[in-house]
Amino acid sequence: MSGSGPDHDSSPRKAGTRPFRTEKTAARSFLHNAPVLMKKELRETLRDRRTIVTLLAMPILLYPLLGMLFRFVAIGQSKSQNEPQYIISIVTDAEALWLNSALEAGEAILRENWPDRLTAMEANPNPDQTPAEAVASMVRMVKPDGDAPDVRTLVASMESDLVIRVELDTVEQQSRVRGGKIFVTACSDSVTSQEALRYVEDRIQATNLFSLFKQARFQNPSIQLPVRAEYELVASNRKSKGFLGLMPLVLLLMTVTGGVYPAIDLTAGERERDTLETLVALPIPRVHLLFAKYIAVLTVTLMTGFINSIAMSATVFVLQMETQLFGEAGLTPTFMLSLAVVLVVFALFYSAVLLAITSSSRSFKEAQAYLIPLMLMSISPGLVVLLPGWHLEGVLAVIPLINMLLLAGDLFTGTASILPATAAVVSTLLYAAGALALAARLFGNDAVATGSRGTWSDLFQRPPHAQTKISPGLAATGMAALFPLYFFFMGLLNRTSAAQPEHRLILGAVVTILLFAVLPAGLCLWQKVRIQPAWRIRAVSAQFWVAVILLGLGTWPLIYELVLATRSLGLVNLSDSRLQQVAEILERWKQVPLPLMICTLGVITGISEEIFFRGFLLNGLREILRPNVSAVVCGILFGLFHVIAADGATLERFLPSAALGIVLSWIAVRTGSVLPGMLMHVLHNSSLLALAAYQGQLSQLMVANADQEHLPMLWLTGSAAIVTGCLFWVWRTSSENGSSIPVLTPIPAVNELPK
Amino acid sequence: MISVQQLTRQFGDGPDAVLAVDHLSFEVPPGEVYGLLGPNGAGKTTTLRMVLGLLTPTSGDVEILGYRVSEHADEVKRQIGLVSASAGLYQWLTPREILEFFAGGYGLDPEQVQHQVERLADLMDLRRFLDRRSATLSTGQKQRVNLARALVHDPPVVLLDEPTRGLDVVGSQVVFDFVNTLRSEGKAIVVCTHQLDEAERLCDRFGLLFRGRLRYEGTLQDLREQTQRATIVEMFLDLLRSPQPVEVSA
Ligand SMILES: Nc1ncnc2c1ncn2[C@@H]1O[C@H](COP(=O)(O)OP(=O)(O)O)[C@@H](O)[C@H]1O
Ligand SMILES: [Mg+2]
Repeated sequence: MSGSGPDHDSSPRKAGTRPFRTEKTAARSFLHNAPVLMKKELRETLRDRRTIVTLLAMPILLYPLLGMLFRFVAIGQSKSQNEPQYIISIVTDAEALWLNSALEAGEAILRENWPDRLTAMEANPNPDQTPAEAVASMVRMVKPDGDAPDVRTLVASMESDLVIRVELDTVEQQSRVRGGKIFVTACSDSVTSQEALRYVEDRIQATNLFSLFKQARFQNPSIQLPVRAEYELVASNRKSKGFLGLMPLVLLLMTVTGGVYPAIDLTAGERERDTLETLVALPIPRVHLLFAKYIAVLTVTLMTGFINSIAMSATVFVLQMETQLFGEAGLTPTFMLSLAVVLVVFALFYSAVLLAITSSSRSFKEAQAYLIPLMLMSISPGLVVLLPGWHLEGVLAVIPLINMLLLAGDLFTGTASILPATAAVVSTLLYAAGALALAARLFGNDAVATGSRGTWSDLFQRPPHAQTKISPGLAATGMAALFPLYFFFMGLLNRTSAAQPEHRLILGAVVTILLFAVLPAGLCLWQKVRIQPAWRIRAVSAQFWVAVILLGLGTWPLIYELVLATRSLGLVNLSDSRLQQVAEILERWKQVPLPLMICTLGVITGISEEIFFRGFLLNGLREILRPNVSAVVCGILFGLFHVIAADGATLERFLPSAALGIVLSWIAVRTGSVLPGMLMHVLHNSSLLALAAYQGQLSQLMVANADQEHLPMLWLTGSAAIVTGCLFWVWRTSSENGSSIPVLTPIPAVNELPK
Repeated sequence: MISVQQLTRQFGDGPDAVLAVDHLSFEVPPGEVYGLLGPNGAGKTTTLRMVLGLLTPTSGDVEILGYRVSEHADEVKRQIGLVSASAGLYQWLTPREILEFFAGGYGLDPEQVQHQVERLADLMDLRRFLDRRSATLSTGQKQRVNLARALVHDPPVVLLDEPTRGLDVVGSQVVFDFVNTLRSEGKAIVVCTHQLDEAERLCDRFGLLFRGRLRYEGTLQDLREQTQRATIVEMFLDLLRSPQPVEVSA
């Protein structure tokens, strides 16, 4: 090879060999990449027989089987209720006939609300055949074998529940029923025998009593029984879930089994078959690759859920079990819709969890080894949830997995309520986001591409260099951690310090600082994120400060009206007891000195919430969303948090909180700093608190509109003018990415100084 | 075209640390086939991964057509085709679907995608099994699909990692022809291999990599002058025997 090839250094490249350069500029968005990626992922999974089996074969086999089993159990139950239950041995036909008529008479009397209907009964002593049928269905009279059977043995061997001998009176009495004496033998330690005894006793006593009463009435028409009773039977609304409780569990678990195989195949499978390296060599961000896989897994999961729902409904329909399964209404559209929502949310969550687990495994075997505990973990709470008395409420609403199972169970029994359901759905979506962020980190590791150990321990590795930005994954992790922690601490608080409002306030403030300030700070320290630039703690020009002071003091009338509007729209129905409760809470708070209230609920809460939502979350969101979009998303999350987390939450807090959250987020975006929003939040909270403290005086001020409780028009106009004016001012004097356009003296941003 | 500058990568910390690549520098102009040679574990694959941006270097950088991998990772990826012996195929997809997927992934529009699939099907002789499930292909056929896949976006730079591993004489000849075609098209090519005799026939210039360091570099002529040895195998045997690390000459 001494020629060592031609020297191409100076030769111009041929036109045909130039690479295709479609998008030279910015990275292509996910929407660009999605069609190509999705096509491949879906083709790959949907062609695989194993996917098809879990997708189609399992539900088609499982539900009919379950249905049959269910019917079998149900039939067994009804059989034991309707077929002759008590076996009574009786020697002669005459005796049997007499006993039967005595029981029927007693049954007829028991079935009437006597003695009110006594007169009617005397007119028509045998209204219908029901008593006879009822007796026939409960009692079967048999003739014992042999001429002189041993009565005791018959009962003791439980061949018969009772043995009855009858001695008929020879004299005809006045009574409709011919008199007679019965000798009953029962078994002392057989429940059925005892029940049979009671059954016979009740009817005989009824007959006797009725006869006595009739005679007494004959002597004295105005006579009354000392105790008169009426009975009403109502079916319980807290239905025992019993066998039916299995259905939501089966449906949800079957749904997620559909995603298991694709999740393994698309992550660990890529690594095992050595296709991962060429995949990540594509000029596509790994987050996009992972997200396409997520959508593929989700699609298969949803398809599985859909097919399972259809298979279940079809089984129910064919076996005519609608009412047994779904109550009188059968399969209603509302039920189907809510079930669909639960399925989708659960699929969103579980697919993300599956990917997070499989993204860290190198092979099929390893992934399966991780998934088995997960599946077991999913089944065991499911079984607990089946126990009667478990409902979606309180802390359960934010416990992953359990909340969805409970919600599905409540839906099936028709006992779901909106608030815990919302909490369950929102928290589950947050957990899904967290799990997806984890999966993205695991999948994005160097180690993934090189095939060496990429494990969960990599997650806890800190980045080598200091960061100035909050990754979306970190923000999602924070948000996902916030919910359960908040519920946990609030529950703890409710248990420990209910007595003294002051103590509660102070402890509450400590919790607020821990969760909203220390938690994000800890997460940032762990990931070597420099807090000051990342949270955008910067000085801003003076006009912004003026604007937020005005906004902070002037927004409350609008927010107040928004609350009223939400109420009047009928979106929220506050029950009277609930209003009472709120009033009581307010009354108790009134005893707390105002400065303490302002310090805790105004200043500390305002600053801490700003740190979490605007300093931490918003800046994480801004890494993947456009500034204005992230402001809206952050505001909505802020609103949702207040709905769910508020002490005894109500939906009416959503609109006002979300609106406030969006304004605060927008201000943080436009001013490029977290500080102005803090001041506005503090002022806003404090003015509301001060207002509440002087509410007595306030209601006098508003006497003209007292019945509607609306604020005077002047106030509202003033507030609207302040808000629009200030927002416009901020908008005019700032740019979208948060640098201020100097109007007054510009103050240099603190962190712009060179390192 | 390709410019590797002081590239270093360390795996692990403390006593277990492995310096897989140690201040490696070389350049490959268009139309040249550069052989990065070394025994197993020398650091060849690690180097290629850093060139591709799949692995972050501990220090140093790579420049492809003026794009630095540390700054324009995606642009760099767009310039490079990767052939790896270990790379598998998606077994449920057909070669056509695989080529279409990768072409789309590199951002080609649908028309270009079809054009490339047709061109590569002819070039690599894939027609007979273009629409068969990949799991059913023979090793040689899979290798041809892999070679085609690397060219799907017509990259000016092609990296080959042990391209003939596991192939028979016919399969290896396909790879040689492939490399020669690329050279004639003016692409810059890096071939990593431990099959030294094979490399002698294939490459224009060589870098001898040993324990992460570049020990000798140049054409076969240059190497023979530097080492006084006739074949690259002998040069490596010398390296293996030498207790002291030998510095890169010139
Ligand atoms: N992901 C990794 N983690 C730890 N060590 C690695 C990793 N990849 C490669 N190495 C080590 O780096 C050295 C060079 O490996 P490699 O580049 O694969 O060699 P070659 O391709 O030349 O055979 C080897 O000692 C190998 O064990
Ligand atoms: Mg190698």
